[in-house]
Amino acid sequence: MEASVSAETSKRHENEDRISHLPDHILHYILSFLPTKFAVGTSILSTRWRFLWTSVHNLDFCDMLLFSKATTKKDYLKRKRPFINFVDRVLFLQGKNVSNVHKFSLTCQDCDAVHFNKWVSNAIKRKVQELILSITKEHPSVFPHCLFTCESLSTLKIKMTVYVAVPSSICFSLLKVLHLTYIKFFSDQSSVQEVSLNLPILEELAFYNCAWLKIKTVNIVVPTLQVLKIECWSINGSHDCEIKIDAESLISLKLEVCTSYKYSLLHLSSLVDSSIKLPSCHRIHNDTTIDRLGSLLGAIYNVRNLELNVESIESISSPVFSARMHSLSRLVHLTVLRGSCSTGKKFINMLCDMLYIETLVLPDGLCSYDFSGDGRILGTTPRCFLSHLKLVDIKDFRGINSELWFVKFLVKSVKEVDKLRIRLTRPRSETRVNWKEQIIEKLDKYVKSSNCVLELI
Amino acid sequence: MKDSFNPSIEPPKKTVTLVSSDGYDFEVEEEVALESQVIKDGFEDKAVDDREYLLFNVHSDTLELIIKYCEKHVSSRKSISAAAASSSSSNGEEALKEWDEHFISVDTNTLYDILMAADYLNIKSLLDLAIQKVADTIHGRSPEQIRKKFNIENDSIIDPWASE
Repeated sequence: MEASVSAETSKRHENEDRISHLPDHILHYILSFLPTKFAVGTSILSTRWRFLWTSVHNLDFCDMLLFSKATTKKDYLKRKRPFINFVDRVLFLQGKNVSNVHKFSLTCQDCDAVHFNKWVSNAIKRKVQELILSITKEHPSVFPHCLFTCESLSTLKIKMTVYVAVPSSICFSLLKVLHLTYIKFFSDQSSVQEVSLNLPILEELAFYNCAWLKIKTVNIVVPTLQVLKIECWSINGSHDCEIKIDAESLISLKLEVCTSYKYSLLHLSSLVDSSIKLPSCHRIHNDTTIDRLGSLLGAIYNVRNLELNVESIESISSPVFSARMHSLSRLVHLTVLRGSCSTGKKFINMLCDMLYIETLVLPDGLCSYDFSGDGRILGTTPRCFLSHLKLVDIKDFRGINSELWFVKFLVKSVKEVDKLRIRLTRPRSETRVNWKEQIIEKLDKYVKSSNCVLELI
Repeated sequence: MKDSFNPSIEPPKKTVTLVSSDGYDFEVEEEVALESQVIKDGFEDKAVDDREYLLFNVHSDTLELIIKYCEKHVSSRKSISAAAASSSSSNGEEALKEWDEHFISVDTNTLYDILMAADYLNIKSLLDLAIQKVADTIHGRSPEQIRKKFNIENDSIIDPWASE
């Protein structure tokens, strides 16, 4: 009975235009989920829709969407003007209707300083909460200063090569997410060499390849910060600037290289997850770099889950850092990602330093390791070698000799391993029909003499 | 959030009755009903034996779906925080996202019903899910395709953009 009623109801609605009858506030909400191009596009659907988009609080401009066919440079230059006109016109029409902007996002290849400054100032004047700017081409002038007077921001993401003159003290009291990419900061008063950032409720902070020019110290106090990501791939030259980040609530930390500047990470006692990618050891050649890396590794003393790339192993296993690894007394999950080749000996040496790990995950298999030579000598590990290890998880296992050797070695030297989880991947060059069976047979033989359970996925 | 979820020491579940527009009673656990901000606001002021809500704008068919959504989200949140407390790895959030995706893959009419109910009951995450679904349908389509998809009749006498 009930089913037939509902079938009837849906039949009644079948050819009806229900969307246009939704209340205005819901339609505004729908349009706010769309890039501005498509929101404006709905104005020609019918008279009901004509002015709906002008009440939307989110603006999301992207030149690729507007002119997706403009692939060549010449085409792009021809269409740059219409894009600028489009943004100008939308800001004018929408600005008449809506006093505040919730989100302003601008993604384009190139933008001249005049329009850029006008648009960003417009958004800031209208108390923008989410400001997202991404411009491919190097920006011709200094970033508008009004950014630092913008109290309303909750999210700020800027990805552009631009100079930003920073005052000696910056405060964004409502900011929760801050991502900065390719920005070159410099002090706006040459006499001041210290900059302090006060971000009382910030939760997520990311610096990707940012530069600090003519600045000696940057103090960042972020008591509520949970996630911190720093990437700095420029390995040419090291700068004097010290960036101090005091983040007592930090849970997750991601570092890539980060040796151009001195990063001092303070009070990371609540850190749980960390991911570290270091350059391979031949690039860590001078004392400054070693000092800087040492202090970073020292800061993560409380980490529970650690992810490393193979190059980091090369660096970490050097005697300078060995003690740092030894003191990671709370580390229980270790994941090692693929990279260029590493010697198996260094990998095993590093494992010797990680006394308490329970899980070892190798998501990219063991192809990057070379266990030939020294590394293959069995029985050289200390008595307490990986004595807490419970699970070894190897994905992308190709059954090559070094992988088989490592499995055999682990099972032999660590008696406590409960489970060995392996996902087999057939190498492209492999032609044997019974390849899988042969590998499984070998693995079975290794684990037979132990309490370890082999799980194939 | 740090307390791990232990069902054995939980007191007996309190329930709330939700009545649909077509007169059906739905008895749900208190925490499930509290997913609705409208119910949550002023919930404490209501007497315990008077926790019955007449939802004049929500049909039983829709209410059933809404309850299913809220129950799933309450239970997933618990298992995710339990996994975090024991620091065991879990893909709970991903699994929930997948579940959401499947949940919202409904015909347009049901989608409107969910949309209106989520707005009426003020369930932010469900409203966002439904809105995103509608927005995805509009995204990248030509006006003619959108009109056809939503049965919108073009009543403009002159198409202001026609010349372009």
